[in-house]
Amino acid sequence: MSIEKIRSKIESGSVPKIKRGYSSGNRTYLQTGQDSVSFSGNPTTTVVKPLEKYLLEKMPWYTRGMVKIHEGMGEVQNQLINACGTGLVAPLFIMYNPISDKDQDTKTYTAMRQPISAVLAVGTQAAIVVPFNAMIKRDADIGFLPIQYNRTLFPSDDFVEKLVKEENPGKKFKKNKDVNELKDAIDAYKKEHYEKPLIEMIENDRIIFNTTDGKTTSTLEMPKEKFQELFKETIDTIIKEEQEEKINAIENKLTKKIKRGIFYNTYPEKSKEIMERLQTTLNFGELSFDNKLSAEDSYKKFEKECKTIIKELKKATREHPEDELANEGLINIVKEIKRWNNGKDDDSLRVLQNKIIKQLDLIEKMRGMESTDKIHDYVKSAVDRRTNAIEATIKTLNEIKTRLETNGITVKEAQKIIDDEIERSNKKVRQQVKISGSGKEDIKTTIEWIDSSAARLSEKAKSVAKCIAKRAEKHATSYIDGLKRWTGLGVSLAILPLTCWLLNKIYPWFMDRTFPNLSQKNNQPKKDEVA
Amino acid sequence: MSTINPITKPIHNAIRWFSNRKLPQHAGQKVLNNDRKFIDGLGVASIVAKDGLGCYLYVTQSMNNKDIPEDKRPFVAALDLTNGMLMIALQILMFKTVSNKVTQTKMFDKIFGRIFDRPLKKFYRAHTKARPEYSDVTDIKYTKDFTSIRNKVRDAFGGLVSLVAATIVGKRMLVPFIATPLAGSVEKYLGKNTKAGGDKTNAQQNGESATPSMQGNLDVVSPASTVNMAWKNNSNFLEKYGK
Repeated sequence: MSIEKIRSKIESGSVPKIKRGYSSGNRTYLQTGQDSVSFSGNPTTTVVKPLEKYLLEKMPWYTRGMVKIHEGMGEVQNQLINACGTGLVAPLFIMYNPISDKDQDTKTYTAMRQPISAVLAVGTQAAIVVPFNAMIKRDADIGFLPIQYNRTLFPSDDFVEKLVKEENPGKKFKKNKDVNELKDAIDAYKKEHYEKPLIEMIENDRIIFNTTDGKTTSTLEMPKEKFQELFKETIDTIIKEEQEEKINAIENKLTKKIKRGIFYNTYPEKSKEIMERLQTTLNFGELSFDNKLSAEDSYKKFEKECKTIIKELKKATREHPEDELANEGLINIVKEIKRWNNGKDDDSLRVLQNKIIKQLDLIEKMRGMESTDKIHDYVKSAVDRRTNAIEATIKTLNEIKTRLETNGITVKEAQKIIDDEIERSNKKVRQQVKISGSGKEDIKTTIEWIDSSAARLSEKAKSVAKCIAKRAEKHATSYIDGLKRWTGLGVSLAILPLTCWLLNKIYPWFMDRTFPNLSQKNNQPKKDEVA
Repeated sequence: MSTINPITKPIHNAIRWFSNRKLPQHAGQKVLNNDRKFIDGLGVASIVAKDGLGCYLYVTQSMNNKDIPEDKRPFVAALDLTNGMLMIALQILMFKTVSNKVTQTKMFDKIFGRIFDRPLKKFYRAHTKARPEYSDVTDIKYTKDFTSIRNKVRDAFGGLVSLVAATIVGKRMLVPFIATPLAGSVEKYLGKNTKAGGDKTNAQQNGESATPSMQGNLDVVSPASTVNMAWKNNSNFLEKYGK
């Protein structure tokens, strides 16, 4: 695209203007927060998408597809995949099977049975599995099933949706790309009517489910020992997560950062040259690239430049094999930076620019290091901060676990142990911040706080009762999933003879009507032989 | 909201009775522990069970099919059985191979590794950090959510690959190629034992010398049913049993 075309596009406004970032505290934000419409329909409150949802939107489409598949895993999905094999793959392998010596008409005649079979299999089997799954879901929601499956304290969205609609008869819930009033209403209803009472219950060391025999309702308290088991399991799960993070910090973060530090220390000039070249390609200057290239063009230009650099480095290695080590290292760095060129929008390009700036800073920092030991110590100190915080978190959780296993501990006592550790860690962070003299008022923006047990515990176990509630819900949903899988298998097996019967009826009928020539040709000689 | 329709009550009662058995409770525990081998295995087992039942029905059907001459029935039934066993064996084999942890990890890393590796994790982190609405999201929360997406994709991938390998690659691609020569061997072996002088079975006469899988066997259609359909256009075993 010529520069004139770009300019005319910008002037005519056909290229979306890139929003300017703004600074707040020690951060530069990409753009202002998006206001969305509140439940009442007035633009009064800001509804922020859950982080997981936002991340998914940024990831490639097939990631979202896979998450959807994960949500729908079960018997119906098994049937659909099996039907794809039967309906789409099998016909091809019949019609083009080189080993088969049958004539093409016979092959086509036989192949046609596959899609019919697939449609019938899905139709009959899903027709029975889906209502069964719905029954199980409702039985769990109303408390008709045993306690392991009981969801009366954390019912499914479908169940709450009915309650919300009952409370708002005739109300039209707005739904578009940014707003989903019904979902918001369901979440609010759940929070008010289910989450709060459940947490209060757990804080008093009990969980009382509602049950029904289909006519009358009653309550059923989770046995004390089961509650203790659930409590211990909740703490164990958090400990396990922390241990995994510790291993990850040591195995991945430490070794990779040391390697990169040593490389920058050994080849600071070459590294800087490449980084500056990449920075020039982006040519952002200030945190705005208005009136310059569009984000998409910048993305393409950067991709091209990365490829050119890699090509040049490979060529240089061929010409000067003695530089192989340096060039290989540089190629890896360029490849990594190229991965940061991950979006054709201005936000992504700004993030990329910041990455390059950080790498340039790191090169300067590493250039000044006198020995490998110093690089190692520098990197290790950062990793140590993280691992020490993890260890302090695990220690606190282990204390609760030990008391659970010995004298017993109430949820409130466990909460106090966590609150005390958060307070102790916060105090320590405040002192560290004071000593370092960063002058930051909000300690939560400091690196000391980010890598502290206070931060970890606040995120992972701020409310012990809430963690237990989530675990209890996971228990119920997992058991329901297990039940659905076996029931699905059972009922689809039971319906199989019907599928078989239908196929034997429908297939010849269908072939006679749609492919009479094929049908006639296939049946005639056989009839003769029988005769 | 908590009442149950008396008409459907027996089904609800049956579900409740079954939910108290060890089988679903054991499965529930496995799902809770995210035991992927068990969960994916159950998916494949479901398909295999249906193939197994199908195979049993066809063999029984062939053995009782009065439209097939009596001396030929064992041969047709043997073809059904060979094909059914082959389908089951290959599906289990494919599942065992593909669901192997090393294989799964390698495949996942090859296809999805680049989306969830360190550079991209850091890229998405920088992206969210720079947005005001997520400015208070800590690294811990971010890692938790990012890992949650990764685990969901990994689990879905594992399940999908296991099923595709078993039901599409194993059953629909490999079985036809193995079944064709195997059918010939079975045919020869059984041919020696048949009293019939012609030695040519009805299946052959009908142009169906291969097993159903060679013809892309259906879940519910066997060579016997093909033979029957050819002779009578009706191979419904239910009708036969209903006689």
